[in-house]
Amino acid sequence: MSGVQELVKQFYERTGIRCISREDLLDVVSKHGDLALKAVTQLSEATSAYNHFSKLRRPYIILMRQALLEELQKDNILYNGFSGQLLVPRIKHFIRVRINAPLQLRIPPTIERLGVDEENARKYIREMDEQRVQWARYTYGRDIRDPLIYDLHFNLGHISMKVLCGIMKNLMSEPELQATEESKNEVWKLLQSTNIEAALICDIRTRNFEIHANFEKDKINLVGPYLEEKDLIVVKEIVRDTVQVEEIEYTPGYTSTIDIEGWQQFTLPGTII
Amino acid sequence: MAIITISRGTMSGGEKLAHLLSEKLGYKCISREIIIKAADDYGVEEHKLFEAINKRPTILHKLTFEKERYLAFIRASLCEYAKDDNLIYHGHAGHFLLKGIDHVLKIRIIAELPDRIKAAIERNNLSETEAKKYIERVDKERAKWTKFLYGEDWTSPKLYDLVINSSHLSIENSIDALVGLVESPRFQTTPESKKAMYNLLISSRVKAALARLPLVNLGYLDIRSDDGKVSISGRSKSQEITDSIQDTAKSVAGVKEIKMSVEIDYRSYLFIKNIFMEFYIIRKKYHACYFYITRYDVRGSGISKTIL
Repeated sequence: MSGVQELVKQFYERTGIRCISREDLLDVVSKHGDLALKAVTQLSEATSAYNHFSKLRRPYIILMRQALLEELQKDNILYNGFSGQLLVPRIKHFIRVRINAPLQLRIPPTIERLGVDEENARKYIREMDEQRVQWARYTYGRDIRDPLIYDLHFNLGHISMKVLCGIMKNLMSEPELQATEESKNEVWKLLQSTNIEAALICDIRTRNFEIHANFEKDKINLVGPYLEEKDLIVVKEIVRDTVQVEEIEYTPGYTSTIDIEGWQQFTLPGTII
Repeated sequence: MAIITISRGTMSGGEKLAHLLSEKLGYKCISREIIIKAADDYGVEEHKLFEAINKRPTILHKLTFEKERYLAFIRASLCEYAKDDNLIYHGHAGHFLLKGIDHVLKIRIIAELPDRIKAAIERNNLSETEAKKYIERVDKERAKWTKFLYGEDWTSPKLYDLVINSSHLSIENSIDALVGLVESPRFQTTPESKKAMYNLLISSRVKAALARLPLVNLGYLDIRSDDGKVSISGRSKSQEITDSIQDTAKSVAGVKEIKMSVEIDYRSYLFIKNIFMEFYIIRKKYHACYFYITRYDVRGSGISKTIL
């Protein structure tokens, strides 16, 4: 209820840039079958202690990331919803924006939408905020209120939607924030790595192996648990079916699903926030 | 026509942003100038004023409201600059000092720690460890300062209109967007916001004048102004002090009328209460230290280091 939907609408009207939300990604993710559907639907609600031990977190992140990267590859896009900025690393032509609105601006649309009184609307907003913070902390290990994970943080208490759209439009036309061959290639490589991870997760034979892929020029580096020869053959077979690559290197190593930061740092050294 | 306050973490590029914006908009850019002006106008040592907006208050300062006195001088000095509009102030207290004025655009600029360390090494010629320690120390001081005075976390984006992360979005790239924001109708001076600024100026002048009186505790007084009509409410220790408050306030430039509702509080109840509160806090801290000493004794580590 911070007015993101309104911003998206106005931004599209002014710039004609394609806007996508989490729901669009879910459509893409659901094509991967039952596990994918289960991961995305269960994880959206996951804030309880029980869910924190869920094994679905990793599939959720990988599949959502894959879906998002597929869209981002097309460039000139605005994505909103469920801390998407934490799914992808910092890349030169990505701008991460957070919008904050004071409670007094958020209450009237909540009352209108839910048909509740002011007190209950206030309570609902607080609960939703808290839930989102908890959810992101569990899923990505980051506090979404931390301004350091964004490039820009707007406060709608003083800045109107119109002005905000104008600022964003100006920023997007800055030469330094334009996609280059190099930054596009970075997105492509990241997508290839995520495709491999997604393929390994969706295959029942390799679902439980926490294998991380890093795509380099004509070479794939995989890091995961120690595997027996037959499993290793299966993994390599899946990787070859997913991407065309000459060399696959597998290094046994420990990677924790809880330590999301460590995992991201491995796949993208120095680029993630 | 706006006033811009830029709050920044140490070595986050706030100064650069302020100067670039000033060049682009033709606004006056100030920072340390308000301290120099306050020191000149009110006859206070510069370093004490500097400490007042940079360091957290000691127990003695809390009891004597010394911080509030220095801040009154600084606010009055900033208001003198801000009354003419078209101003950029870069310093971490700007958004607090000019609270309640609608045409003030509050910007905060942040950067990631590695970038700030790099800047500190370059600018202050420090080693990496020293630079990190320096940044952490200054951040900690400022956080405690803001928490004490306003009960707010100074890093909270809710306090600002816009937060820019200079680690990814370069300052040069942000300038055009910021100019657009400054020129938007929301931040233009209106008759109402101009009046609010004038009221703040008069009340700040009165507060600063009263801060020079030795027996006046600003912490017990509430000063408001409406178009030169100043109302002072709160408590003082004697009738003589109340009279001197009234006389001093009358002599301040711009004051047309004074409305006093100051009660005489002979027992200085709040003062005593404050002392008890401080002792309570000290006792709590002592318990915390005791816990660590005991813990470290078992592990055989140094005690003095833990207490510090």
